[in-house]
Amino acid sequence: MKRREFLKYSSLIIPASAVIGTINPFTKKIFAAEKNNKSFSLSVITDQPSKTIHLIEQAIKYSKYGKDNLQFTEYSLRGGHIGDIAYVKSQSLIDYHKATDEFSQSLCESANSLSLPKIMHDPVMLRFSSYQTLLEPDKVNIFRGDTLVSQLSLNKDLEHYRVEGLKGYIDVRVKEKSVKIISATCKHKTCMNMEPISKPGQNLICIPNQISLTVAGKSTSGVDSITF
Amino acid sequence: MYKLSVKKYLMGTTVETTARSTDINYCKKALLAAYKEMQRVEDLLSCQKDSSEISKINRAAGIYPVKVSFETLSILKRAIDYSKKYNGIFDVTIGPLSSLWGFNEDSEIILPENQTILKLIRLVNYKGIIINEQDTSVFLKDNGMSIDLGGIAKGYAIDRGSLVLKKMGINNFILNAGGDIYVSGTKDGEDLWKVGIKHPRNSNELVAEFNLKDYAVATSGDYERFKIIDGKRYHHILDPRTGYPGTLSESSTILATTAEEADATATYIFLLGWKKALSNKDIDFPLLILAADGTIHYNQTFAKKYNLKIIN
Repeated sequence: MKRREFLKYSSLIIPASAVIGTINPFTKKIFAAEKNNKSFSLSVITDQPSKTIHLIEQAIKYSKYGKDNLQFTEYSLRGGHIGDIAYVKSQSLIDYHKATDEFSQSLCESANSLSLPKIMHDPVMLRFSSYQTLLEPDKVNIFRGDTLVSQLSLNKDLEHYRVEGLKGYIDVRVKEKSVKIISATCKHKTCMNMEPISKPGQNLICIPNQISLTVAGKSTSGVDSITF
Repeated sequence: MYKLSVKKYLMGTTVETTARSTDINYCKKALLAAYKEMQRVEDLLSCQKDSSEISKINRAAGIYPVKVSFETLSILKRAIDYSKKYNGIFDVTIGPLSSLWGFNEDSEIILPENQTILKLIRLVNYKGIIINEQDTSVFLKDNGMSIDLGGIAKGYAIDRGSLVLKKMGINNFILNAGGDIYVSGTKDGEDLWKVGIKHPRNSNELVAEFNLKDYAVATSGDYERFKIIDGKRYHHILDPRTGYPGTLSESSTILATTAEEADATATYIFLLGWKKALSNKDIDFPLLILAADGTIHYNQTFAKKYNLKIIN
């Protein structure tokens, strides 16, 4: 992921797809948090996940945000990326290098300790957030195995996008804010039978190719998990 | 308190765990240990993996007994118990028919010849599993027989993964492996975790939602692996009595103390259909069934104890 893409991605406050849902009482807390100006998110691309987590945990612990009701997710990324920290507060990207508040200064120290920004290979993306604000899903995350290999916008129709898998490939189509698998090299084609997905947390899986597509965003169904 | 979500591709599906913890690195360690345990179970029991003990038993069917681990022997004994309890409507020797239809493998789905089904259905009989507890060996009586633990192995893996998390002190989590779930503790110390049931014919909708604590839920449905042939839906939940996919339900959701039991029972109830399931007083699991005509049926145990709310 290029640095510009990473920062753009982070500033949109797109929650990690693996997080499922929040129920109403929690939603109330979210609004309360916004009112108290305690809402934020941090996305970090790093090749030292344990150290990064420790540093960020410490920074959060002693910040005004505190560590209550925080979300954390982690994805593996593939290939070359620029490692960095993106700090978003009230849906605005903050330049923590220039900001003078204590939390930004802690982030500066963390970035220095991790030698960020720097180019790294096969890093992970960590995401800490006080809430998930994006009600309308606008991205689909594409995984091969456990690795995030691509992201597509649901806001832009795409006739055809190929994802290489374990045994071949699948082709996906984005249309009217939903995504569907339109062809696959697997033999039983079960993934092609699945209905298009458009809501946060919904998945499409091609088992032979070990490819899964998940709509990112805060689950609006009000449940923590779905049985099927 | 952090809410962590870690997702992993395992057992041919996405396994997703959300857990509450004050220490991210420790919780991550526990989640990875749980996934490692689930991977171990898959390697031991999957009939799609040549190296698994189940595959070894299947390859030696009708030829010689195969010595297996105590763990495999135990799960096979429980699988036989489920098969007995459910009068063969759930049968772990469904393997020959599963392979014929091919829903669990990467093969093209074509409607099998009826004669082939009738021939293979004779090989489906859990009574043909000969267990020798003395030397922990398993023998399949007839050549061509094969065990398919697809109906319970995922549930067992979830139970094992959950146990690892609890042993490591992670007590508040929700572990979802391809729709089969174990729920532990609470969401935030007060509120219970809330689970939704996916609508079988509209993936964007939920049928119902309910609360769970320290309990498992599994759903069997005809909509995850299927193919429409000449306007008729053929899916992966095969009825051992007919050799064809069950036709009485669109989905069945069962709550049980373990994911293994929920998994096996969901398959059985799916094939049994709502009329028999709800009129049988021996079936005391909380359950919800979407019948083949789309109507929703559930028992009072589910409605009263788990705050069941029907949505669609």
